[in-house]
Amino acid sequence: MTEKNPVISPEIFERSLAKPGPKQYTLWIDLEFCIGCNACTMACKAENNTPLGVDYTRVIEIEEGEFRDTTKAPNMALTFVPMPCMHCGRPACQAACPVGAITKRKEDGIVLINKDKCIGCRYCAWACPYGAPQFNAEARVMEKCTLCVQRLEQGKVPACVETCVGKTRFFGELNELTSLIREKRSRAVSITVAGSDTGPSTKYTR
Amino acid sequence: MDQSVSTGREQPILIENGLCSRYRCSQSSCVECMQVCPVPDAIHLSGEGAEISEACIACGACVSACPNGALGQDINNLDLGSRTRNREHPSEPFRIACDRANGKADLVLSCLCRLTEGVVLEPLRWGAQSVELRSPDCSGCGLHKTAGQWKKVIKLARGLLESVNLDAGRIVHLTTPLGTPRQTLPAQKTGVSRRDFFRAFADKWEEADASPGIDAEDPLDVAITPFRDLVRNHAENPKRSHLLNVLQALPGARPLKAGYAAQGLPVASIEIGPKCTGCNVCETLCPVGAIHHSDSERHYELSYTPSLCTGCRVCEEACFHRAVRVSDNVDLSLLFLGTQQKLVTGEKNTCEFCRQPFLGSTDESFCPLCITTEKRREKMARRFARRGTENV
Repeated sequence: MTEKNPVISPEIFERSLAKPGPKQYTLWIDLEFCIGCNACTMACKAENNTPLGVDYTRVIEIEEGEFRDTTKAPNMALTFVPMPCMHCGRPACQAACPVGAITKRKEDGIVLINKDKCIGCRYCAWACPYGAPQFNAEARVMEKCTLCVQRLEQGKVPACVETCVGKTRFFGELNELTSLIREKRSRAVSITVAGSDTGPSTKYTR
Repeated sequence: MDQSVSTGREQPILIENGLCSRYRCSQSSCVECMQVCPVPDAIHLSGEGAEISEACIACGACVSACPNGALGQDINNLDLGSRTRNREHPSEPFRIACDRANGKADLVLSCLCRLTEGVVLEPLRWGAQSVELRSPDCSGCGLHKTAGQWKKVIKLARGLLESVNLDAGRIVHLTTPLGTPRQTLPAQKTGVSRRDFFRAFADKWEEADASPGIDAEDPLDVAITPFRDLVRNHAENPKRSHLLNVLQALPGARPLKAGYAAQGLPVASIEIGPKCTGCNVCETLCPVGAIHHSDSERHYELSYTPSLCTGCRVCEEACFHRAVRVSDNVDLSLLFLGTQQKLVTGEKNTCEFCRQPFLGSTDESFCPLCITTEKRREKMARRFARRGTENV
């Protein structure tokens, strides 16, 4: 397994954990242990009572390798990537919203949609590089992952984190999470921060 | 001045948020009222629209400058216009003067910046041969910053006259010496009759009696209309409807089709390019309701009324796809005709994934948004899943 998870240089490891600004609640998703059971998707639907077709988090299956190459033994891999909202530092959805319905909360960095203001134009969906905002056709407003603010207020963690079967999801303040990653995964891991200029806060490791 | 009984602040500025570009669209860069305001810090603009502070001197420049008529005064354009109706010497030009202009005047305003195109043109409607705007040199006046505003108003009023084959020279600006204007309007009833005077007091008392007491419903409990429902309603632009009324009644007007460079003036024409996705955001956010769509099961059409468009550019600034282009080249005769113009016509289809309508031919089954989102999500997921690379 080691050649699949090459040790990356300590500098890059530290740089990838750099903190973007003030307090930011976020998720760390450890792809190593995700088995694609979609329990997070279901927990999210149950918690947020979303209608059919509206999923705040989805698990994308990524197939890698070649099966039909007869000269070699099959070398296939299936990776599951849960895709919630990245609660970006500079949200593209916020910039695109024509009525200023999207705000990034200063106190915890959560990006939220004000449903009283939202006119359901779906511009945020056009703008988001991660496909996070979802259109609720019944209410004709946009919705997206809120990191379960209603649960956070009660001192609980988001529903997806609590449910996760493989214990692949961790919730916390960005600084706490980065030290958790250092502690748990040492250096033998690559950390992905999506290469986009929106400054996403969610951390992926594998 | 007929100040009647009310002794409160003199003509405060009233704000109709629903018409304010800033309030409706957070991306609007409209600064017309703030730019023209002669008092520093009297107008504060934010995502919540315009706010007028105590510093306001109620000169009315912003009322004239706001293209959408979101700002108003107790004495509105209609009242001002109706004062131009009766006068002593109908054969003489109608004179509108500022407070500091010497000489005779039919209508005296504290500053000419309060004028709108409608008020300037209204005397012509009632038979005046010409309108004379009288003011001394503005440079010595505390309100000199507003001079640009009344010059704009005169420019557009002249343009409008030309567009209907009338002589633009019928609106003249005269620089007069400093002094006090002499009002020649037929003696207006100053104040009110005795009966009305006491009635006004009685009304106040009765109103006070009827005012909600402690037992009455807490005003905070009354449901506030959410923003999203509020923007779906389009209020009438009082400034523009007054102007259109005046234009309709101009004697001898014959509209001529011609282009007019209306840079900085509150008129514009709209074009929509092929990038339009039929999202109707321009229609929803247009403060004056100039854009409308109509659709049937298979057909989509977007059109606009040029006579209502004020060139506030909310549609252009709000459009995510950069499909809307607002141009300063206007055919002013359209203001007289009040016709509609088509912007987009297209085939409408329903996306099989999100079940929402989109513009596209019948052989497409998914809307461009669903396709883009799915592709992006997968692309990003691949990036996260990539092995052995340090993608920082």
